[in-house]
Amino acid sequence: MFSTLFGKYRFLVISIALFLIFDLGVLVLNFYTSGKIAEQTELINSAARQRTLTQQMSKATLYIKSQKLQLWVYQSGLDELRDHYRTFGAALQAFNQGGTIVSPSTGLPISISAVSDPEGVAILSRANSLWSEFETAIEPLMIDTLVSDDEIRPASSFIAANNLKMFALMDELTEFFKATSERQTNLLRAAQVIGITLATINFFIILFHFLGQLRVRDQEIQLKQHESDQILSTINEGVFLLDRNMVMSGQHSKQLEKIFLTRKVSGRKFERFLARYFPQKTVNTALDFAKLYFRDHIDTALIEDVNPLKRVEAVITKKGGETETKYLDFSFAILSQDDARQVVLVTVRDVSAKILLEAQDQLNADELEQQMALLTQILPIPRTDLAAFIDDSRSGLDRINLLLKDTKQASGSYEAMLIRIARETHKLKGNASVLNFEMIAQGHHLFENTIEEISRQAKHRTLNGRDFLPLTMQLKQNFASLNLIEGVRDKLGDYVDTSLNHVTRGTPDNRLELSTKKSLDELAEQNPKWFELLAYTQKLAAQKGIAARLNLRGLNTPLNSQLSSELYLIAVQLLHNSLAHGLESEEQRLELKKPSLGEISVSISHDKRGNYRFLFEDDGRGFDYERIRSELVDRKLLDSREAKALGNTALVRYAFKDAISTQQNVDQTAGRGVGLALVWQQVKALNAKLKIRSVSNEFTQFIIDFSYSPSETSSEILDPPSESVLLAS
Amino acid sequence: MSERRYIDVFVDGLISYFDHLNESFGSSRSVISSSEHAQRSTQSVDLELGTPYLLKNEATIGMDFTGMITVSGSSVGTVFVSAPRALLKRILLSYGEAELRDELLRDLVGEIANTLAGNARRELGADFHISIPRVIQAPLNTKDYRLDQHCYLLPFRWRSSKAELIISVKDS
Repeated sequence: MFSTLFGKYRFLVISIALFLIFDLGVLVLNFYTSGKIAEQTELINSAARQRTLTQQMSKATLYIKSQKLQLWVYQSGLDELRDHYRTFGAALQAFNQGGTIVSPSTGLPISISAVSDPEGVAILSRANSLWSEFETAIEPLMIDTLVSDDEIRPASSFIAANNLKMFALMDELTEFFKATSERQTNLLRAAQVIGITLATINFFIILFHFLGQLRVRDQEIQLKQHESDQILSTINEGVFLLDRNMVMSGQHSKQLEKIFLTRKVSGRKFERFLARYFPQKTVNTALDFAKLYFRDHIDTALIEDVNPLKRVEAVITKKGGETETKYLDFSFAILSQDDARQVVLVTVRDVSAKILLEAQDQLNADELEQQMALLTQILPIPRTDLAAFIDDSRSGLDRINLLLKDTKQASGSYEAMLIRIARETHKLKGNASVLNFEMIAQGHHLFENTIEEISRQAKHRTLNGRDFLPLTMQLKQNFASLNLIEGVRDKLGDYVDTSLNHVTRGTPDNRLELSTKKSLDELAEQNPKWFELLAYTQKLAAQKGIAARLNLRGLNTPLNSQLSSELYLIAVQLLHNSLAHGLESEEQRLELKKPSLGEISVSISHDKRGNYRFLFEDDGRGFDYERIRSELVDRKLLDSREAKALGNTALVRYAFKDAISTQQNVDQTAGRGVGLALVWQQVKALNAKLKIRSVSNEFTQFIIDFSYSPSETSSEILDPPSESVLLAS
Repeated sequence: MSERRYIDVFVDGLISYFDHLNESFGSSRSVISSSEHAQRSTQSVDLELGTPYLLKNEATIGMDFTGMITVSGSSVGTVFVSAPRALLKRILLSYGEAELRDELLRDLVGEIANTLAGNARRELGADFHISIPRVIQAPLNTKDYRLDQHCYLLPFRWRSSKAELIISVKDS
C-alpha cells in the first residue's frame, strides 16, 4: 500500500520534502548565522570596550599622577588602572588566540574564536605591537601597592602619548568586526531570501500542480459521475448499493424511483424503506437475506438460488393516495470498493407485466377452453338466432336487474319481485336450453335455486336487502357467461352462418311427420329457431328417458319475428311441460297400448285477416288433477276439503299460477311450477284466449286464439289476473 | 377469497359505522327488517339495506359526495360510498355539529369510507391493502375507474335518506 501511495503521490512527497528542505536550510543557516552575528556583536562590543579601556587607562594614569603630586591617596586610580590593564590584555589575547572573556553587555564569560581574517589579524598585529609597549610602561605599576614617581611618570607619559594610537587601532578593530558582522548579516539575508524564494516557488509549483491535478481529477470524477448518472438514468432496473449497516447508498438508478414512486432513497435505512411497501414478514426476510452477503465464506452463487425475494408483492401508494400493486424481483451481488469496503449491489426488477401476462395467459387458456366448449354449442346455431338469443338474454338479465333495483323495501314487494324474477329467469333458461347452451341454462338454474332458497327464508323470517346478495352475485355470473358467448360469437364472425346451415340441413331427419327434405329446408330457412326445437325435443326426451317426436306445422313460411318470439316462448315452456309431465315412458305407453314414440305437435295457422291460432298438443297422460290437488294442500294454499271441491277447470287455473308443479323433483327444465305461469303471462301479453283440453292418458291440447298485428303486442310483464279466459275441458 | 366475503366485509363496515352513530341516538341495532321499520318509522334512525343490484361500468353514479377507496394486494378494485347532502347533514347534526358546510360534508363521507377501509383491513388481513380515501364531489362515470364490467350497488337508507355502497373488488 505504501509503495502504491508513494507511487501515486510521488510528486507530492518530493515537493513537500523539497519545501521542508528549503525551509530547514534557511532555518539552519539562520540559526548558524544568528550565532555568528551574536558572537560578532560580542566582538564589536569587546573591541569597543577596548577603545574605552584605552581611554580609561590613560585617565587612571593621569589620576594617579595628579594625586601623587598632591600627596593624596591614589589607590583607587591604581586599582582602576590595574583592572583596565588586565581586561584589555585578556581581551586582546582572546582576539589573537581565542579564549574566554567577560561579555561587556551581560558581564558573563563568553568564548570567542581567534580572529582569522587577515585584515583583522593585521590590525591585531599592530595592536599587539603597541600593547607590548603599553605593558612595558604599565607593568611596573602592577607590582606594588605603592608606586613611585619614577614608575608613574614614564607610564603616564607613554599612555598619554599612545593611547590615541591604541584607541584608533581598537576603533579600527571595532569597525572591522562591524564590517564582518554586516557581511554575515547580508549573507544571512541573502540565504533567507534564496531559501524562502525557493520554498515559495516550490509551494506554488505544488499548488499549481495540485490545482491541475485536482481539476483533472474533478473532471474525471464529473465525467464518471455523468457517466454513472447517465447509466443510472437509462438503466431499466432499480439499482442501489447497500452497506454493511443496511443503509442505502447515495447513488441509485432513476428506475428505482419510478418503481417505488419516491425520490427518498439515498441514505435511508433499508428496513424502513422496505416497510413502506411490504408486509413486515417480507421486510424481515429481505434484511436477513441481504445480511448473508456480508458474512465471510458465503458462496453468493449458492444463496442466490434460495433468494426468497422473487416476485414479491409491493403495494405502492401513488400521489393521490391510490395504491398500485407491483411484483418485484430483488437480486443481490457483493462488490468490493477501492477502500476494500464491501457493499451489496441490489437490483430490483419490476416483473408485474410478466406476472400479469402469465396470469392473463392462464386466464386466456381457461377462457380458450371455455370458448372451445362453447364453440361446439354455438356452431350449429344460425347467426341471427344467436344474436337474437344474446339480445333476448341480455334484455332478460337487464329486466331482472331492474327488478332488483326498483324493489321497494317491504316484504310484500320482495315476494312479488321474486315471482317476477323467477318468470324472467325461467324464460331465459328455456331459451338457453333449446339452443343447447348448457352453461347458460345451468346459470339460470342456479339462479332459480337461489330464488327458491330466498323464498324459503322468507317463510321463516323477514327479509332484508342483504338476503338478495347471492341472487345479485349469480346474476353477475350469468351476465359474464353471456358475455363469454358473445365474445366467441364475435370472434367467429360470419363463420357461424355458413357452418350452421350446412350442419343443420345436412342432418338426416326421421323425426318429423312433414319431414320431407324440402320441408325441413324451408323450416330451417324461414324459422331456424323453431327448427332447433326438433333436435332439442329429442335431446330433452333422451335426458328424461322417453321417446318423443315434435311435429311442426305452419312454420315453413316466414313468421313475424316478434310474434315468433312470443309463441316460441310458449312453445318452449309447453314443450318442457309435455316432456316433464305429459309424455309417458316407452314402457308405460306400451302398457297403455300407445305407440312407444310420444307425439308432440305445434301448429300455427291464421285466416289472413290477422286472426291466429296456436295449437300445442301431446298424446301423453293429460293433466294430473289429483297431483295438483295434493300440491295445493301440501303448499297450504287450500285445505283438503277445499281442494277436493275444486273442479278440473279450477285446478288447471291453479296450475297456471306460480309455483304449482306436478313434478316431484326439480330439474333444469321443470319442477318449479313457473313454466305454465310464464305461458299465461305470454297469453295475456298477446291478449289471447287459451283453451285447454285434456283427457287422462290420452292427450293434452292447448289452443291459443288471438288477433295479431305487429303494433298491438306488448312485452310488458303482467301478473295473472284472477279472472281468466282460460278454458279447460 | 370469495367475492361474497369482500362484499360482506364492506357491508359489515357500513353497519359498524352506523351502529356507532346510532349509539348516540340510543338505538340498539342498525339493521332492521322492513316490518320492524314500519313499526319504528317514527324513530327512523336505523340503517336499512336495500336490494343489491348490478351497475354497468359505463353508468354514471354518485350522489352529492362520494368517498372512494382503492383496494390492492391480494385483491384489486374500488369501493365507493356515496351519499346525498341530506344524509350527511343529518349525521353531522347527530354528532352535535352546528356547521354544515360542504367542507365538513366532504370530510364526513371520507370518514365513512375510512371506517369501511379500516374494517376491511382488520377483517381481510395485511395482504389486503387499502388506499387513503378520496372524496369526489361530482357524478362519477364508472368507466373512468377501471371497474369490473358489472359492479355491485348496495342501496341503503338512514333516517329516510338514501345512499349507496358500490363495490367492485375481485382477486388479483
